[in-house]
Amino acid sequence: MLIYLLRRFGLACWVALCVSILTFALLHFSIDPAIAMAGEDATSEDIELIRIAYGYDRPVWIQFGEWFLRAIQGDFGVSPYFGLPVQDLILDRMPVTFTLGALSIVFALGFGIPLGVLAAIYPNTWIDRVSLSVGVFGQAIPNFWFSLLLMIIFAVQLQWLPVSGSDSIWSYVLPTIVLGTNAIPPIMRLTRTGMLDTLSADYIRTAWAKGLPPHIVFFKHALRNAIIPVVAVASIQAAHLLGGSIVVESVFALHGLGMLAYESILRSDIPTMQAVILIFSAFFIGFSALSDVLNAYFDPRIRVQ
Amino acid sequence: MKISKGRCGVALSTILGVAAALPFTSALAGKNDDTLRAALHLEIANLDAYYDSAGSVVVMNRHIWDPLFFIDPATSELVPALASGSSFIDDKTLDVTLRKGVIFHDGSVMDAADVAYTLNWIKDPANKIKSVSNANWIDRVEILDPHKVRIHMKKPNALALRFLSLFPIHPEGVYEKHGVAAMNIEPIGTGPYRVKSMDLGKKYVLERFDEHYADSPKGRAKIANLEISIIPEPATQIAEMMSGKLNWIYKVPADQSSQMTRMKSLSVESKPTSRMMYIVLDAAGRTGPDSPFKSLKVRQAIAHAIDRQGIVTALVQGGAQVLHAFCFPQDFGCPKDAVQYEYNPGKARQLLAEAGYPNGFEVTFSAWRDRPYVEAIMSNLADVGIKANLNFIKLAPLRGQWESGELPMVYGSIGSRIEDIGNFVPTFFGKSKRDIAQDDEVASLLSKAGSSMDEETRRQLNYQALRRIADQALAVPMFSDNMNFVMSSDVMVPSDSGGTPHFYRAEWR
Repeated sequence: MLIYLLRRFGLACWVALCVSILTFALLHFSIDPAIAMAGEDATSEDIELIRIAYGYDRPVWIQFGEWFLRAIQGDFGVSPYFGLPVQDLILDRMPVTFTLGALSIVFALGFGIPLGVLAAIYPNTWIDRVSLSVGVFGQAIPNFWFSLLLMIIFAVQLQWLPVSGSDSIWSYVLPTIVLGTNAIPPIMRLTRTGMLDTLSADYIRTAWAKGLPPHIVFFKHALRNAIIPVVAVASIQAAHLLGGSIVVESVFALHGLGMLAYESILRSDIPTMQAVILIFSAFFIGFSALSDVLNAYFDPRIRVQ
Repeated sequence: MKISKGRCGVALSTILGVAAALPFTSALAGKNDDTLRAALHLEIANLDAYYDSAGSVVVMNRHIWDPLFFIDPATSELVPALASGSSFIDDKTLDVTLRKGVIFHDGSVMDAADVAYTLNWIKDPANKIKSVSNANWIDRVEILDPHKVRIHMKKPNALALRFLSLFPIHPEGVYEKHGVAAMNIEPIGTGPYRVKSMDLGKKYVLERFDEHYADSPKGRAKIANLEISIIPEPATQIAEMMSGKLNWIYKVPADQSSQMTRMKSLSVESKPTSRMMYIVLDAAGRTGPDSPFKSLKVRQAIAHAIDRQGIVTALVQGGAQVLHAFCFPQDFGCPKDAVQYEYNPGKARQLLAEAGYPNGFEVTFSAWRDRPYVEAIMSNLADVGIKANLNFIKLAPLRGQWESGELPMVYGSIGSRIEDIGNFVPTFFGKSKRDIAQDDEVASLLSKAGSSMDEETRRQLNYQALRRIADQALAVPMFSDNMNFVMSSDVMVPSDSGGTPHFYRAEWR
């Protein structure tokens, strides 16, 4: 298991390095940060002076080398807009994104697993159809539309919840529903499939033959095995939720990492964009590795392979 | 990642339509606690206008800081603010006398040392301010006495006093203490409001500064407190307005603001702004010797082919107006009698035929903003036989192509915060990299105007330059922009020609 973990860690570091090179190259070839910093009404002279002052006139590989050497020491540079170290900005914004991500995955698991179980217990009934419909709805509805709909109903008309901001935990209710709803379908479908497979297994038939009550059969014997792949998928979904928070944070004016990414893209704040993209990719890499490890832990066959 | 205006607009318009039809009885916030709650779009990275030129920062600066001079929004005239007067010793030396009794929000007295410190800081390229060209005419600033400074200029600059209206004055030594993030850490100004608390980039709570100097051109703030939140999405801002949590928002899309006029608790105001939309044409033939825009008749045909009033009426809406000169009418030196090219597709076709293009031609049309307007222009051009292929890309790559002479026709926008054509027309017609007309006469007139310290001479030279730009159809001035403001019906918030709100002049109704 230790060798497996080390191999996974090495692979994660390699992916992170590739992501950082790719991000840096794409950002520098697609954006002229000096023009973006100078603004729409700037003169050519302003742009040239900014290019020199901030070192954007130097070869890209030198800029990357400097950035990389600092980044591996935990120094992501200074945002030319905030005038503050990028790591301070990220640490300031992380709690909002983590809170939203954690609440959303809990919401998704809280709805996805029961719906999947119900759909498997009552296959091809109206309950199954309703569960599948929820899945289709969750996957199909655009985040921004769903956000506005919830805002108008619960914040404007009923005035039960705040429209935007992160002043209290109530501010997270609507964004959590929007973001979490996106993650319900894969969790629900995987739970349903797993439960259907497990419920047709011999040991479940044995459990029924022993006269065990349904809740013991379903939840103690069937769900325990059916949920193994869900745990792994949930970790990937958690990464998706963190990375997918850009639109939701922006719509609900939650000043987290997603909104920092959004604003940095608008401003072409390259040091901040570079760091935020690296952080988001680290989430994916980390949670993917976690997913692999969990799979290997629960299923010894993976470790052997 | 950004929600497109189109998608968002459809979604929001539908929802607004439904919401407007439903009974809505929200108690509006603000008047009871004498706190005006407003929202701005773009996150404020740095409250210091020298290091962040975003519109949100301009708004905040207008309230927390004061410059030496101030452009009166009613007359566009320059009036003293922190200064009490000024005099040119010679073409390159300007003495500025400071107002006495001005204090910073921390209680310290503002004097010549603060002014000299601020101006000497921003003129130094090593300090990396964003709008370098606004300040790089300053050679050095010396203190003559506690209430007088002398500004030595590198060369005569007729816009010096107007540029001084852009420079907030900071306390001496503040950058050494905190670096370029100083205003995020210690936002001490002399303006009508002071920062009571702030959550950097998210929310700013300001309170009226009762010691704000008497006779300030901004007057005494009527509303005691301002609460300014950063909410990026217009849709969310509108929802906050509808829920009664905000008193004021701006830059509301026209289709959405018109829906909001149905709500009795809100009032909607549309005003033209001093941002001008334009099309510049490759009259110099930088894109190639066969550029059709080298022909005056083709350029005139383009001007006649575009239904500018139609675009204003159908798309821009509000108080936008068609422009005939390459400037905003209230800008210093802007001619009121420039030649007018009325919408006349027949005449445009005739001019094209006379220029040797009876069947029109194909051209690349570049833009980075206002896609609906650009598409309407393309449709107008197609009507006279000109097939415009749209090159709609971000500003940064577009500007690179533009400056290297690759673009024959560019749609864009420009605004002057100092209400003088001297700080933007030379960018387009003064033989700069962005000058694709390269007209010697215009460039010469603008150059002479830029170095003339006599106001009347400068006015005449600018007038002649802009008349020639219009006569030669070197560019097609399109229309002014329009801005929609939505406010709760119990408050009145004035704004200037640039669309910047003046909360210090706001009052409850």
